[in-house]
Amino acid sequence: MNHDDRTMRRIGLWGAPTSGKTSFLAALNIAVTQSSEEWTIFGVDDPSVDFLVDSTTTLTHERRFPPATEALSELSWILMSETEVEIGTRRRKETKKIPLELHLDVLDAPGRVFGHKPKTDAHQSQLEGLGFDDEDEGMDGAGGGSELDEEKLIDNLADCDGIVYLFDPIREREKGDAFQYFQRTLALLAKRSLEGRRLINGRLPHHFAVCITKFDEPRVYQTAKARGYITFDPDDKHMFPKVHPDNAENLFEDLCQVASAREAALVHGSIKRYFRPERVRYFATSAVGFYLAPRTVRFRASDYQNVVPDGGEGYRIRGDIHPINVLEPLLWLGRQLSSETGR
Amino acid sequence: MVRVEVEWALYGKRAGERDDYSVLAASRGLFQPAQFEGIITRFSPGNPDVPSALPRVTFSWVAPNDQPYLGMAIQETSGKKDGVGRAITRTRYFCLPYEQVARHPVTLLGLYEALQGLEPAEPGGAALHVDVPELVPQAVADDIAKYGDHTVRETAALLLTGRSVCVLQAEDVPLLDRLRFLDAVLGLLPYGFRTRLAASTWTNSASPHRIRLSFAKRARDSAAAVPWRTQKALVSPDEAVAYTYLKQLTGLLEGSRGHSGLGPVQLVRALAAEREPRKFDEPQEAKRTLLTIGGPFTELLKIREDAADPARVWELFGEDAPQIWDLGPAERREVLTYLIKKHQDRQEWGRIRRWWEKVVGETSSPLEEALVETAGHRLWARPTREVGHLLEHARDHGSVDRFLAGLLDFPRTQDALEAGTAAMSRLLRQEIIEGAGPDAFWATRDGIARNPSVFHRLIADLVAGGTTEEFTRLLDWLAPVMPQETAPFRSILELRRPTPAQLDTLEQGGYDRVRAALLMNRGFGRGQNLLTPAFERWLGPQGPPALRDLVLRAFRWWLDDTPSLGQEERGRWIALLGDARPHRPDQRASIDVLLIALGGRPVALPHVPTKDWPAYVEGFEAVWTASWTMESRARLMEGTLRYLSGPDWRNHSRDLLDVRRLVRQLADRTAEKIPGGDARLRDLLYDLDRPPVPRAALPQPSGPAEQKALTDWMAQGHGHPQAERRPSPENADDVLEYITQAHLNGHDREQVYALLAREKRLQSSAVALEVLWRLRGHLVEKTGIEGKEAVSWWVDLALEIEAERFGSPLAGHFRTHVMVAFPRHMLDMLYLMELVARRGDFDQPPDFAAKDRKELEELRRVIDGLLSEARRRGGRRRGNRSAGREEDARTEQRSEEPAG
Repeated sequence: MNHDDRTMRRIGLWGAPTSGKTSFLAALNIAVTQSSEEWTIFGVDDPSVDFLVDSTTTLTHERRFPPATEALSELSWILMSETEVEIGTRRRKETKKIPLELHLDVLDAPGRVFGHKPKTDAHQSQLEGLGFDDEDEGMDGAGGGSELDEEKLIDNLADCDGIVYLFDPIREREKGDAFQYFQRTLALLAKRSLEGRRLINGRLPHHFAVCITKFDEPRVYQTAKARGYITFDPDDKHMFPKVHPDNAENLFEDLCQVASAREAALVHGSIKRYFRPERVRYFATSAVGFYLAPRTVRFRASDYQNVVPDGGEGYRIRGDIHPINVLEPLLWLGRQLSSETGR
Repeated sequence: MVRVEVEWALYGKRAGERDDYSVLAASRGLFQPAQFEGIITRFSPGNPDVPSALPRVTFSWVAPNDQPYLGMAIQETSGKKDGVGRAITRTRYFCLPYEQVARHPVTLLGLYEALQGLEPAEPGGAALHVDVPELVPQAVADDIAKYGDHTVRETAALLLTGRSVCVLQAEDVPLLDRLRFLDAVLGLLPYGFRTRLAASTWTNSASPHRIRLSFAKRARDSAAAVPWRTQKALVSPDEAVAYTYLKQLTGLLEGSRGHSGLGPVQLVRALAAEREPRKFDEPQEAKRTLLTIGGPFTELLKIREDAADPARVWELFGEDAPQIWDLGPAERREVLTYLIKKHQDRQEWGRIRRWWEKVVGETSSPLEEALVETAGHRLWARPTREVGHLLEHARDHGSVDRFLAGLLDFPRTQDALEAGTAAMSRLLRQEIIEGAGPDAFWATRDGIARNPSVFHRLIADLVAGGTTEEFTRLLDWLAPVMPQETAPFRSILELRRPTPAQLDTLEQGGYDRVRAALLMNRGFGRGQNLLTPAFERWLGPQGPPALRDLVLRAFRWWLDDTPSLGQEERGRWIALLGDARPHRPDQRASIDVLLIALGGRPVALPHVPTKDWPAYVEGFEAVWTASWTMESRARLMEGTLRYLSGPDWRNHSRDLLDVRRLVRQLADRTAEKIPGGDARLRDLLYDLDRPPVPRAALPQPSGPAEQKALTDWMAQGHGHPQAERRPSPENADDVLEYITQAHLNGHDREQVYALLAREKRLQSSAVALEVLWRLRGHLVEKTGIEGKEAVSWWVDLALEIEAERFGSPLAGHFRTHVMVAFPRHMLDMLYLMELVARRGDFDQPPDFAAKDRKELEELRRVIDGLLSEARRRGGRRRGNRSAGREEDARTEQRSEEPAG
């Protein structure tokens, strides 16, 4: 059995508009830097490097969120570190460190692509009547256009080994359309996996990390706190609150309950139905983390909001960025995939 | 200005909302909001990734029902924030029918400036009307210069490669300059490409967009990157269409070799008039358009690239409004020069001449150069092509001397020189020697001095038909510029022996000069004046081999021309020739033939090494079968027959087969040239097969008187007294035909052969043998008799010959030949059989089929039978002799015993 796992793993990103996909990616560089584990991140191409650099600057220096994603972006990074895996027999297990490389191949798509409404026949014929032919199809991977974006996205997700799904509880509370942005993509993904004979006992083969975003938002934090899901890591000098992994799913469920349309519960149900339980994990995440005042070291429950109105229509980030569970879902996916190879 | 009607859509987000980007409002018209969204998202240039990305302008297209529309999306920050506090951008999209701006071309900048102020907001509102400034070619041309015509040209050509093109390192370039640059690039493409063009003032390379031409921070992997204001060559020659287009553009914009082109203003204007919608997946159409636009400039470009079609070039000289006048004087001459070089016939030349005066203007020299070059190609490279009409033209313009001098300088390779010297010589002879005379052809004279091989050829040509006066005039004319070269020829002409220095000059001039001198010597000189020193200098082993050939040939000519040569002189030449011992076997053979022609004996023939014999035979045959006069040929024949019939070569161990090979080759070649002339040689061939009569066996003269008588007798061409003379043989074909006809006329074998003998139609053993070889096959083919019966005819003929029915001499020769030649022939055939059976490898065992083994065994049986019968016959004779001796002994013994 070969435990040197240098296999490239592809991880996809999925989420409704404003769920924080771009912010999640933007915070990744900082999360890697701040991680207690020794990780490094490399851009595979220049645009990916630019994104890392620019988005870090936006978050940390300009103290604002990245602009809304208008068009599909193809980004690619490699995370490198070592991981421990258990090897051996049931009677005699031991852990071994093996090099780990995670290829993060991401299509950062506008949220509308995930909730792309199926076209009526009339709608379809309207678009076909525009006279767009295949002339520029061969022009260096020409994309553009909702249909092609969706197709590209589904292809990307279907080929991924792991998926990070971002669930925005704030949006869900206000609009209640999470399921709308979930079900179509899930259906297309399932169809693609069926065609590719990738289903495992009728379920999708992917490892699925469900990230409840905006954990720093008071409504999310307070919900978690009220439910008793908060915990602290003694090794964290800032003592930032976290949701224990064992409770993250419960938090997800509870947040679904308070959503306006209750359709979020369908999301939960779909996840349980379509993905293998041992391949799903929940995380409470925050791209920007909690506020830490300049002269303080520790989290203060009395003043933790890091995102505040900027006096206009927008928001600004008050303090430094301390991403929560941005890297961890990726590491979990990586270890899951490595263990799978090792078995 | 052109008034256009535009449909519009507003694309963005509502402030404070968490929804994604969508069409917020749209005009009521041809396009529905969903279609606007489809268009806008299809041509999305990606997320703005740098501060200078916005505002940005994206130009696109759409073609509902195959009707082309042009679109422009103007994206800028809105100043508002969405539901999560992020800045919202808004995009105003405008769409207009291409038809409206086809007849009145517009620029992207003009369109932007016209649309930029529009603020449509009312959903379902009407289409808007706006005035758009028309494209001004001068302004576009100015921008081409301003942004670097190299960059602009390369970018335009790159668009024809099928790849997207990104202009890099231009983040600081303001929006309007970016638009102007895009206009400058598009100005160098046919206007109709805009119906399929997507261009933007900024794209994000992280997005897989459909924008063909844009500014960006980075280029995608397969996109072509154009650094801002670059001077680098970006289009690869492998991208054939684009590369050709670029070259054409460059040629039309700048011209070449110091000549003017079409110029940017005219070119932009012309391309703006090419309104037919185009697709980028048919880039060759752009190339064709450029060729059409270019008109005379394009043809000029093609001429310079050696890719023009003369028929197309002639179109520039059309009767109505000839386009040739669009070119400057130098370019016009260039075009006419091309036509001069390519013209095929006099008719076309007539057209050129009609345009000559109009086009030449004050400077005729380039055209004259073309004239000479064209004539030179025809004369030297393809000497069968006529140049007379070109010479006529030179004559009409008083430039014959320059023309001829130019021709003399033309040949640039040895092959061309050799190919055209004869034609050049004819031209000079016609114009100078026979024509006006050499006076005033000074340039031509200098040309000849530079090209002495022409002088040599001229001399050689004049020998055949020229006069002494012509030669004198020629030499007088050339002497001032070629004093050394002409001196030996003057000596020859004046019947003087050339001096050693003059002989040096001849030798330095090489083969051609010596040949010319020898020819002149033959025609106009006194043969021995040059031949004697030529023999002394060039015939010996130290002489150059090529000159030795020439000398031998010249001697042959002289010998042919001198039928009555005195004995003393003959002896002198025999001695000179005999002393020349060249190494080359073919030259030694030439000398041997000449010796025979002089009445002497060959010196090399008995001694040539076997390995050189084939070359010797070739050389012998070449001279022997050359053009001799009849008298010379007769002498040569007699001398050859006499020598080869005699014992001399046999006594020197020259192999019989070698000599047979020589005689056979001579016979074959003579038969080709002189029908029937080979007969005596073929007789000799069979005579050679007779066992030679040893000299010791010949009756020897008993005293000086008898010796002299024998010598005189042999000198009269009788050969050895015991040599038999044969009458001319009849033809084997005739005999076979006679036999065939006689049979067809109903005669049987006995009657046919009786007739043959009575009419003495078969006198030659050679013919008899040939008839026997061919008789069976001939009868079967011509008369249809069966093979067995043909064998009977064959056997009967042989019996008749053996029975001396055709005469005892024939019978005798026949027997001799059969007994001598046939066994050898059978051995040869057996050798071939063995070679075939062993498949060419004599280490392999022979492989005979059963049938072949049977044949061989039959052969062995016959031979064994003959031999054993011969042995028995010999044994009986020996037995009879010994029996006789015993009887004699017994008889003797009995006579000595006492009686009683």
